[in-house]
Amino acid sequence: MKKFLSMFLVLVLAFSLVACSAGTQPAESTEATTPAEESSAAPAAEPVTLRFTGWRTEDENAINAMNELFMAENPNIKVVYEPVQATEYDTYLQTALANGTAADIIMMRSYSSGKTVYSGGKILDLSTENVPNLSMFPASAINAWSSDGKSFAVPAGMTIEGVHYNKAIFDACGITKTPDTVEELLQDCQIIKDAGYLPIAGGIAEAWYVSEEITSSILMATVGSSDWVKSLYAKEIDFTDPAYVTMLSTLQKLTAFYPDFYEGLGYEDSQNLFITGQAAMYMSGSFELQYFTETNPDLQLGCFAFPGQTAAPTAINFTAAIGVGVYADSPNLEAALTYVNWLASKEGGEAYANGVLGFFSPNSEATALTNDLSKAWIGLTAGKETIHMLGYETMTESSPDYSTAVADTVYQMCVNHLTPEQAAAYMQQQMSWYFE
Amino acid sequence: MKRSNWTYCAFVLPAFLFYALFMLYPLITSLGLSFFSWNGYGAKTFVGFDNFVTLFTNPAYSERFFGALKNNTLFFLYTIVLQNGIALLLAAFVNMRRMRGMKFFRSIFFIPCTLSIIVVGYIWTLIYNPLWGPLNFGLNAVGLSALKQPWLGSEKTALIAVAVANAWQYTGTPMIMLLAGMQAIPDELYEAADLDGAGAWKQFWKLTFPLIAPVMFIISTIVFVSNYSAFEIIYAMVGSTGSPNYATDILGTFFYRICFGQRLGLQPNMGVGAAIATCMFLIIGVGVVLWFRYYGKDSEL
Amino acid sequence: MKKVVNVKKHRKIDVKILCVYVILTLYTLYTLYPIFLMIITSMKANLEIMKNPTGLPQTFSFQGYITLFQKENFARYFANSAFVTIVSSLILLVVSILLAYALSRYLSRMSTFLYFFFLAGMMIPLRLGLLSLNDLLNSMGLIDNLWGLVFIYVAQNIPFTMFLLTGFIKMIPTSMEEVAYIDGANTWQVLWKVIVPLIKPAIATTVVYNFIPIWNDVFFPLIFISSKPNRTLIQAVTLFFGQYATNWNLVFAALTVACVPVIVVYICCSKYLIKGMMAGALKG
Repeated sequence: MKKFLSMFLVLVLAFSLVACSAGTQPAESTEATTPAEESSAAPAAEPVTLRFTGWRTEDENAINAMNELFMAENPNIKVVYEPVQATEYDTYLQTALANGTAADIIMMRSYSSGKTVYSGGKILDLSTENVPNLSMFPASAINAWSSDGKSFAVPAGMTIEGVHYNKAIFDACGITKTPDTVEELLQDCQIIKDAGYLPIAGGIAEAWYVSEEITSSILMATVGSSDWVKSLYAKEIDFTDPAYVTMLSTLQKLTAFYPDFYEGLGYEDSQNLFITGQAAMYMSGSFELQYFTETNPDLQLGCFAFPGQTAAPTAINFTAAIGVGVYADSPNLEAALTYVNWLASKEGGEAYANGVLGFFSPNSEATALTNDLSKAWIGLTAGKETIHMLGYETMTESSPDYSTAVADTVYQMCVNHLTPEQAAAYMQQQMSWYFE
Repeated sequence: MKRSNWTYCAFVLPAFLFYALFMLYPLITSLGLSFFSWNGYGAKTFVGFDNFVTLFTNPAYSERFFGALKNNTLFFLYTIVLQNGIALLLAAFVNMRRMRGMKFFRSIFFIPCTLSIIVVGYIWTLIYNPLWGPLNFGLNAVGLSALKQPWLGSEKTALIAVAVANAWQYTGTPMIMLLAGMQAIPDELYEAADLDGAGAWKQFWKLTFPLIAPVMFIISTIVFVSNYSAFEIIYAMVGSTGSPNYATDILGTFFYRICFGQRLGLQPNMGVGAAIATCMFLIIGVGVVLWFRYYGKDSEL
Repeated sequence: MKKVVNVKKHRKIDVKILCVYVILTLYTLYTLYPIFLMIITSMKANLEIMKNPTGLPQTFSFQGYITLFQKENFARYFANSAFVTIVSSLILLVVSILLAYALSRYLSRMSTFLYFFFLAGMMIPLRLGLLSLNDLLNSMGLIDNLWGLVFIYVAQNIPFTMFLLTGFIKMIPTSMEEVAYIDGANTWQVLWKVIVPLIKPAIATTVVYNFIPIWNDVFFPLIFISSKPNRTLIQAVTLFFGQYATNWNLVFAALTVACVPVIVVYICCSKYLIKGMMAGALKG
């Protein structure tokens, strides 16, 4: 018994030692691990600390570096970025808002996918009065986070959906030109496969990756203009439309060039295959750039828009991805507004676009890009109509939401061998709540 | 103890306060929420049994609910067979007469029980990874590449793959409990059986098994309660979406999705969530009571 | 070869025992392999994990561990977990000893009722009460507060601790207490001077038994702890995957770090734990 007790005491001692060493970063003792004591420990003369939360865990280093620029100009404000894993973010945010523990500055998704958050009464109403720099944004960008005539966010990051490719593998296979049509793409895939490489890194195990990065890109290239999307939203056509069937059959053909067991591969498996240089192509968005270049700087990256069915594509996804708003009950409102106004400035917009590669500011004046890959991606939008990702302006407010429905549909087609026509009918049945 | 009511109260009260405030009160009021419509932060509106009606009749919910119930039952059966079957076997082996190193084995077999479910989940996710997981890699190496599977990505194998990981973790507990039961059986009984000429196999089924049946009963109850309220192991291995195609969706993940795991623009539906929790409560409660009625009389304390 | 002369029956038994040993050894390997895999993966380069998942690392790298503690503030999370686990174990122990003593020595209908009233808590998972628990903690200002977790764990583990301790106290003959009462001790003194020293092994068992699930819990921290400095170790590990999802060696280093405390506690106290569980199995 004595042996046990002494062991227990040693353990307690060990824990407190660790706790003390933990306390060396913020000047606190072991006991200061409770937040109650923490909050009371900030005298008024100290600089204000703003908590900034978002789902871009991958960009943590880059966003911290960007915030350094802001803090250099505003020495009295400290911004701490605390990201939460993307798949858990919505849960986390809604709980934090309901409990009154939300961060001061909040990253928000756009349109209907973020509406619960920004129109829930917990996010501060932003206008040119409290954020003067909002005047530099086109209405279309601000509208992505508006409801009932009020706006709630500084549009901070637009992303483009397309195809990343590994230049070294393309060179090794003698492919000199990126494909313009689906037929060319399939030919290239065959060449790459014959050369012993994996043509496409991809998997369908994760719903959001299927709906945002795979089907959405193919669909935009297939329909070629925003008219189709508008008619769908207006319920003039539905998911059994031939264009949607074509999208599904294109995907079905592509899966022949996916890795084995792709039905069990998720987003991160796909990323991994591509960044370790094992796959030639990877369908995703510009937002991967920061993470890819940080993780594997040796990768020779290139990009192209998803090819059209018969000719070069005329439309591409350009998505309002990241809006930054202010928590209405924040104890540091003034400092938070200073921060978002900076983010809305030309300087702030460029700091985001050049600091966090792959995100583009919709600020009409913040257009100077320094990185070649960023320039290549924004170049993909030249001469094409840009459209917000399908299914995310609306169609997410009831169950099953668009993203879940399309992922289920693709699973049924790829694993349970539905034909593209049957799959489209299945999709329509899933989404019937929208057309009622 | 001196018969003073004051002392009695003083001794019972601290525990009672913690238990009543942080356990009973939230449990009872949460179940009460199933009669309200509530999105988590706005006003609550009384709606009677509407949430239950929605849960059982609206296909968007009922399909998922009954699917989750079915998966939960399968998960329970897999666990009973895998975990308790293996535990019984191991306990019988470790308990064999003339065996040495019994303590060593039982200590090793219990190690996984000490790990966090999250840790177990992630390790097994790596093992099952279709491309670079040791399982498929190993099958390839021994020439069985035909058996390779996207273990967690196929409707056929996903739930059982999770159940295997779960059983890997928890086999130690029932094994030790069964071992305790076996060691409590007096040696004379075995000696008598030896004299009757009963073989080891017969001895096990005719003598050992009936005597450890009460322990088996306790274990099954624990498995029943923990499986019908399970969440973490599924969450750690395949997330809360029930993928692939809802093959791993159990009541716990369904509840989490409706109340907390809302994605995109969907509003949390706390009322229906509470209705799911009420159903889980009823299943567990009724299950345990029936179980005790049927079997538990002689294991009264 | 000389030993072949031995009685046939003996040899047959040896083969049988050998088979059992082989099976037990195989199962031991099966039990330990995932843990071994976790540790070697934490020291491999990323590409190596994909190319050679089963073998030993070509070069052992501790970079993952260094990053964890230097950059990711893991020491802080470690301290948070230690705080929650130790404080809730202590409170739990004190209130449960009082309760168990009252229930096992003051026999009445009330005690029987309370015994089953508390015991019922073993059968109902607290997470079903999540929705109101959230409201309750919120109204008490305990959201995003480690004390909130402490109170939850105390409430949740009272039933089992009470169950085990009551069983042990009932086995102690009352004669020793009577002697103490005659010497003029009050109930309080009798409990701490007479009973507690006698049930030390049971106390040790419950401490270890509660330590493991409290340390390992991820469900309540995931929902009730939101800001980064308040995260527990297991929660931090869980939320860590987003950032380093493709950085397996770092992820597995984090997993390994999260396991070490419980494995150490287990190795030190496995005797008590197993004893307690065996006692529990027989009494149940």
